[in-house]
Amino acid sequence: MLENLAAMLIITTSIAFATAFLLSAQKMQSFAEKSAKASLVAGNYLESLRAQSISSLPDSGYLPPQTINIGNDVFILNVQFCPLGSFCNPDTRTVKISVTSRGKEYYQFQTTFTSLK
Amino acid sequence: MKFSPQRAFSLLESVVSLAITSILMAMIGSFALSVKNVSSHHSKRSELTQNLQGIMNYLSLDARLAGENLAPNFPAVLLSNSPLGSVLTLRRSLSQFPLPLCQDISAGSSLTQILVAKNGLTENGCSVSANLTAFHDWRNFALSRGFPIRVYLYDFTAREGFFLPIQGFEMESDSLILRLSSAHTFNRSFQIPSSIIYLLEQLTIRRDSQNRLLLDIDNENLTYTLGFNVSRLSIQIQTDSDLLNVFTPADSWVKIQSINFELQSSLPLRDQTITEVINFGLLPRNVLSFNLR
Repeated sequence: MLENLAAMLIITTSIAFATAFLLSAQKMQSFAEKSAKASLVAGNYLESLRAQSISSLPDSGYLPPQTINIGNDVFILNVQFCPLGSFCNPDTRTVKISVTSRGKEYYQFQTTFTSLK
Repeated sequence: MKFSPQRAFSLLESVVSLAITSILMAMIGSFALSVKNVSSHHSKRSELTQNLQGIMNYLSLDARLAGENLAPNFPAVLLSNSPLGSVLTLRRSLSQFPLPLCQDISAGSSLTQILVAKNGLTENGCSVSANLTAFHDWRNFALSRGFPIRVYLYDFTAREGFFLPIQGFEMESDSLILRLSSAHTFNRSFQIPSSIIYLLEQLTIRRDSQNRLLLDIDNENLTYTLGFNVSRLSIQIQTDSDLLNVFTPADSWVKIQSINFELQSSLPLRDQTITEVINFGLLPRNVLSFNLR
């Protein structure tokens, strides 16, 4: 009986380790996948900004958060124009983008747009 | 006869240990099976996502270059629909300079060469000096690429054109000539003032019945497979005012704000199908040359 109990303990511990390892691998894979999708959300938004004139973009503050679905994942796109200390003038806008899903940030990006001359 | 007492498992202990071992084995087996299922599900999903992102990266380059060196009234972007999904055509000029058509071509005529410059002909910018740079540019391109090359003869009035195979460039004292690979019979007429010849790259993106995403390089008569397991291709074009499912030569490509792609990729996994969808919008950068923003 003692040998059995010892064996059970060893197997249970092994299973617990294996489960933890697999769960963490799965979590990492899921994070990588979500990050790739979040970067796609941000990329799409930046692409849409290129089609707009700089002067039509806000020169401060946040846009209302946008909900974007990619496959089964739901992302929230947060856009801030001209964050504190950034480069902004009538021909230039700094944009800070953050993409979150279920309260967790998966992608953040900041860039400056300027008009073509 | 004397029996010496020996230590051993009782029958009950053996049965209990066997039962515990069986339960443990069953638990481990079921755990391993579920891990395997989850892992293959994840691996298929990753495969689909990578497939779609690879396609997106490839299309991004081509869609952003559409319209390069082309006039606003040249159909640089075309979108139509087939039973298998959207069909998108992207065009750009490989040379900064087009060449004029410097002879009228009547329907039914058979030609082995086309005049692209002639001194004394003022129509359509046909002087030799005005077209010498383009002529050399095209010839250098052909020499580097190898003959024949396919050039695109386009009629701006009828908004129609087609590719012609060119086998040589000939300079005479008062004219510049493109020599065709073989005698070509024209099924429609082309008039000097409205016809221009382009060194065009024409890419067509479409899906086939085997769920492959194909890229036709029409100017080279080649087809490449961009991706597999693409179960849906849907493309829309967002202009300043409309979201269009069809974009014809009559629509102005410089008004495009975004070419929106929706790609769906599916793979079977045992009794179910795993599906991933990717949406992305691309702006052909050359529209900015006409609409400074």
